Amino acid sequence: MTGFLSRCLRTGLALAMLTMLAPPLPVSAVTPEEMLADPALESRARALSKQLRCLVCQNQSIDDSDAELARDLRIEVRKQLATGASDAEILAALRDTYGDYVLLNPPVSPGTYILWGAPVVILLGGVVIMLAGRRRRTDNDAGIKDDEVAPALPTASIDRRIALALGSLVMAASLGLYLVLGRADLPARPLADRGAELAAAASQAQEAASDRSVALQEARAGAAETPDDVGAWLRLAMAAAAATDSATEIMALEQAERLTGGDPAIRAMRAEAMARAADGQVTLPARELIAEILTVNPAEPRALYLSGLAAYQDEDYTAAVGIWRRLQTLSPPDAPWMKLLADNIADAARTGGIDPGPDAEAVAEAATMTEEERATMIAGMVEGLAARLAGEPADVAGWRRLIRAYRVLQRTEELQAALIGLADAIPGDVDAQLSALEHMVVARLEPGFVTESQRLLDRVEALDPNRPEGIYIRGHFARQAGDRDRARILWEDLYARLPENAPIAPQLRKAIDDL
Amino acid sequence: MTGAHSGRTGRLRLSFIIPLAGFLLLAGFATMALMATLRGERDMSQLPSAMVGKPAPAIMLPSLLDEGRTVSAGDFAGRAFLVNVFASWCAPCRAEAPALALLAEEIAIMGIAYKDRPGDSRRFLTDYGDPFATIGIDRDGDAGMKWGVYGVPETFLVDANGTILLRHAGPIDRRVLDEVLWPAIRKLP
Amino acid sequence: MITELGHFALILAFVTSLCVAILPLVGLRTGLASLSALAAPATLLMAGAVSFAFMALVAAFVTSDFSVALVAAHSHSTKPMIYKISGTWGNHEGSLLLWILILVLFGGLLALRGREMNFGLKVRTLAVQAMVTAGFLAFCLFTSNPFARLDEAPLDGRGLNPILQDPGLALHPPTLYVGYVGLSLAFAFAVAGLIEGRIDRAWARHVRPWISAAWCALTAGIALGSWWAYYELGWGGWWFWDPVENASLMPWLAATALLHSTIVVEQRDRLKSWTVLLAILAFSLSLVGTFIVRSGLLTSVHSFASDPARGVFILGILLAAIGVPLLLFAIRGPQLSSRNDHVLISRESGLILNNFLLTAATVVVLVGTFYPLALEMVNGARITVGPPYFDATFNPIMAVLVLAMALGPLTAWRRGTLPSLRLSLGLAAAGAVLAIGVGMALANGISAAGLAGLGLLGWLALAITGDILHRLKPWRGGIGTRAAVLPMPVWGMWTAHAGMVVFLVGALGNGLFQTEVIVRALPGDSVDVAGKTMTLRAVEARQGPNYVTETAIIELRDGTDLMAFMTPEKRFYNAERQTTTEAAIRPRIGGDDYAVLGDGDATSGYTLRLYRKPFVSWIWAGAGLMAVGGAMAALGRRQRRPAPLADSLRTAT
Repeated sequence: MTGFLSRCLRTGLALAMLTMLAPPLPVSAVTPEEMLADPALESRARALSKQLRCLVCQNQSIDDSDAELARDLRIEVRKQLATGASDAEILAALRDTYGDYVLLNPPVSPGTYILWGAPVVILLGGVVIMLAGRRRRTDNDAGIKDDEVAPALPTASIDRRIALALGSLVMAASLGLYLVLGRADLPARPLADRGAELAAAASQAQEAASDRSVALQEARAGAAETPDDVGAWLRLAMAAAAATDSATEIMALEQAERLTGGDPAIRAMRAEAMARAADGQVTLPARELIAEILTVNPAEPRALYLSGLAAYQDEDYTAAVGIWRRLQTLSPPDAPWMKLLADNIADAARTGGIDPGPDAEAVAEAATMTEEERATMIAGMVEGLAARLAGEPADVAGWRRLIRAYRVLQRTEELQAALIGLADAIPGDVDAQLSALEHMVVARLEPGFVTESQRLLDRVEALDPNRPEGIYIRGHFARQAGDRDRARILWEDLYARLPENAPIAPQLRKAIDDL
Repeated sequence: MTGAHSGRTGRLRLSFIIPLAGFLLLAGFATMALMATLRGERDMSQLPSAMVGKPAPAIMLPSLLDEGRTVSAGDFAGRAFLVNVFASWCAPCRAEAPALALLAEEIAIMGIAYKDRPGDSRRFLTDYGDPFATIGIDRDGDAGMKWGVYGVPETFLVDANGTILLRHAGPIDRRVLDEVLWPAIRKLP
Repeated sequence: MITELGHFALILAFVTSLCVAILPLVGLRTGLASLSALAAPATLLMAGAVSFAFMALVAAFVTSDFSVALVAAHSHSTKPMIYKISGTWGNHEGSLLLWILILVLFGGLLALRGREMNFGLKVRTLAVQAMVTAGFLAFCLFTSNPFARLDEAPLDGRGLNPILQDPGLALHPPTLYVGYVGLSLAFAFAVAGLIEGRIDRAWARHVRPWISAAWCALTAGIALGSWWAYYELGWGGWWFWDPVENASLMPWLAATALLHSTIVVEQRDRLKSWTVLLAILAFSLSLVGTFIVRSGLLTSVHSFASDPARGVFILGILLAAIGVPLLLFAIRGPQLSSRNDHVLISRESGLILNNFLLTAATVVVLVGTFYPLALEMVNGARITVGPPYFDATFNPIMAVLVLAMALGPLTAWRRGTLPSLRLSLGLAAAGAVLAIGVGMALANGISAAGLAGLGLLGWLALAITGDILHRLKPWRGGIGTRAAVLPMPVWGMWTAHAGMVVFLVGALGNGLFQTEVIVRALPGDSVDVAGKTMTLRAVEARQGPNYVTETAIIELRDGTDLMAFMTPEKRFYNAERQTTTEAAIRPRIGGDDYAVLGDGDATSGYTLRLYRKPFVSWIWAGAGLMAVGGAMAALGRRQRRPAPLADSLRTAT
């Protein structure tokens, strides 16, 4: 894991912050192509353009703006002019689509009464006040003081002792503040004195670049020579990564994967390369790959790291901290990524405003925990999530995470409750209802969840009465309740719907017969 | 105007308070705006959409993935759906891809590939995932104009009657998902 | 090392400003006069320290010391030296330091001058000035420190926005800031007067030169900014009603009103509370103007990157710096009221009308600028208040002002009579009719508003001429003596008012008679622009100091006479990876030829935007004349004159 990943952490966010990016066409304010042939229409178009605001610019009319959207609007105005629309109709149509904001001349409406009324009120009010003021001939000589009557304060002279004392105080206070704010330890670094440093950096950069391209060429040749050698492909991948050639890197890793039969570590490297190719963002295909790797090897460090990063980029800081902390506990205490990991956890905890939880010391301790203790610690984290979800039962993603966690921890009853929680959060989703019910049946938890099971069953019936799983489960509950006849009717109905060669047909037959 | 003679008495006069009152009013608005900005509730790039409450534009677009077919908002008659305006050249669209994938688990999403070459759009889907039920090509931005789009990405929620309920401009992040879209989707009948 | 010394100097200035803000006032109250006497030397110390700090920052930019965070963020080693220097204030922190520098320099000037001033007034004024200084030094040191250092100096800087790599940046902000900040002295005088409870003719006499100086700089600064936008933004507009522009216009309007109302205080001892209020408002508006756009509250094409966290600090300073004086005014203001003894037709009435209209215009701009923000806060709606609103509200008010501007100077103090105005009124009316006639003859279909504008132009031009004739009476002998006796401020007034005429010629000439041609042209193509022929000869690539260009070579011919080659450019700045357009302008008194190169290539042709802008440079020439007039009025008031000199002249004749 390289420093690149810590950079990614921020890139993902930086990307999200760039809201609007212009498409790659350079455009500029009114171009000859946009203009209408009819000069009268064109001059109306120009006048209208001066009345319309470019929505993505800051206080520019679409006539003045280079923005893509301004161009679209100019063209739209001309299209509508060409169909014979009046100026008022065109403005009204654009106002309909974009709102009052698009009009540089704010329309008179209840919201702008004050705006349009203000000048009138000010002018009338001013006239009234001035006329009133004229009538009010106040004679208030008492209030006038002319300089002739001013009490002449003598210009005082400076007392040297006071000046000296104050001066020393000011000096001392300034020095004190400077010691806090200033950086007397840093020497000046004018560019003129840095010739050697600059030259060294330049030649180093050049050397490194040529080294990288040479290394990449060599590695490419090596892989071509021995296409069955995993090591050669891995070397090519590393050289390509150093030369920031993501396409080659991913290709080389795919080859290595093929040769090793899908080694999880190599696949994780490919996931990282995919993220790097997307400017550090953990893309959906990368996420799928990571999920696959983690099902094979739930402790694959790189995949865990990336899945934490994905959560971070989704701004799900709780999950990010959880995953990374898990990676901390799974990694040997001297693993090279421990420092980066600790930094990232601190960062995610700070950004997400969550309790950073066990500090570095505690985590180091966790590394030496027994299996049992570690399980307790993870369970503690999961409980935090469960507690939060109790307060925010609508958090679908949270429920899914909790469900995953309970599955891993094999906490059957909690898992059941979480499945029901998810089903309640998305009551319109048949699959969620069914998976909760199925788990209930498989784990034989029906007695503890009587009302819940009824609720879920009702929903399934309302949403999709013909779902085979639904019918089967309904039969199952009927049997549990002792209503064997109803169970038989349901199951027979289901049996009739099943294709002849359905694998579960014999089992179902047997169940019916057992009734 | 008896106050006119009260110069020395130091009594307050209304007209002398007007400037202070005007300033405090202005400062009050400024404080409100600043606080809202600090709390992250005031985003100058978010404009209230005039399209909310209006019927979804029924513009027909060529389909991106099924050549020769067309897609339109009418395809979803009778159910609620999301419309996401995206483009391969738009960096925030990449950032919101995971959020769309989550949404797609619960509600159909119609994509509008805005001012994008179809080949680029397809590559974008391969690289960042395809959460869309249908995708229309809006090569020159006409559909975007009808929807009142002023930048990509933008996302609209349309109810079962074809009325636009909500518009979000800019990428869908965690906050938008939890505080805007999920609550709105859950409120659907 | 010098950077750190500069940092220390800035801190020293801050600590000193805290002392000057408090101790001299304590001294006045307790009678410890020697404490108060320290105000002037300490103010000079502040001025020296901030000057040193500013020079240290300039030095860091000049030597490209990238261990200074500000230099690393806003400079680049390949930048031409002039832009390294002007880049010092091409960013938030540096421009703030420049702002403070001007603030303390004004304080320093007051400390040096004003020996004839009442000691108490001077000390209080310096103390108020120091309070403002302390607030902004704290803002600078604790939220926007220009001397922040980097542990690892990068090898090169990130460059300066190419739009700012222009002589305009070297001139416009410093001039504008002198205007903005100059008003701080009027403000400090006003607050000191309120604290002291005395506003009198001496007060007005002392404050007026400062107001005039600030007003001149503000006029010039705004004009420079408008001129910069005209040639740099590439579509030849010169005023956009953008919040930042409005923010500079509001203090200008208030300062113009203040300039006129101070005359009334000085000459007639009237309008005192009003003048104090204007002095507070003028500086308050320039504070709002400088800082509101840095808080992220309003959006603008011109603004620096905004930061809402800084906004909180700014808002706090503004609340204290504006709210407290206004509160003081609400309490103490009524004590300053004065008698009214003028009749309807008098110089006083004219100046009151002037003040009223300018204030109304200021409030209209203020309302228009902040209304969208207020409405958004009230009901979340977003609207735009753009140029059409200001055209519909601001312009009519200014039209009435111009009408009145013609008459005001013709009337006498206390009581004037209509008959004495007959000559000038007749001339003015004739001028209006003439200008409208000329306008209608020159072009068809000029709008009613346009014709009204032309009428005003003729009205004002001939009214001023009439006034000059009336006072100098060239048809009688002894014109030289009469001219010599006329006080300097009268000449200044004429010059400034003539500046308005010149400005109107430019604004109307460009607004009503501009020709615009937008074409796609291949080399060899010719276009007719207002009777002249522009031929695109070639488009070639050129290499600038830190950019490459696409330069069009356009031949300008009048008939067959070759008049000029025009070379509009598109520049690509490598370090910043940005493109700018540089218009080619051929400025002449009769109007500018203006060419802009748009997109294109050699096969499909290049977009050219070609303009003929009649009299456009008169806009800035007019502003320049106004500034000169203001300076003449300021210089002419140094020594005290027997009060209403104009009156005695008038009665003598």
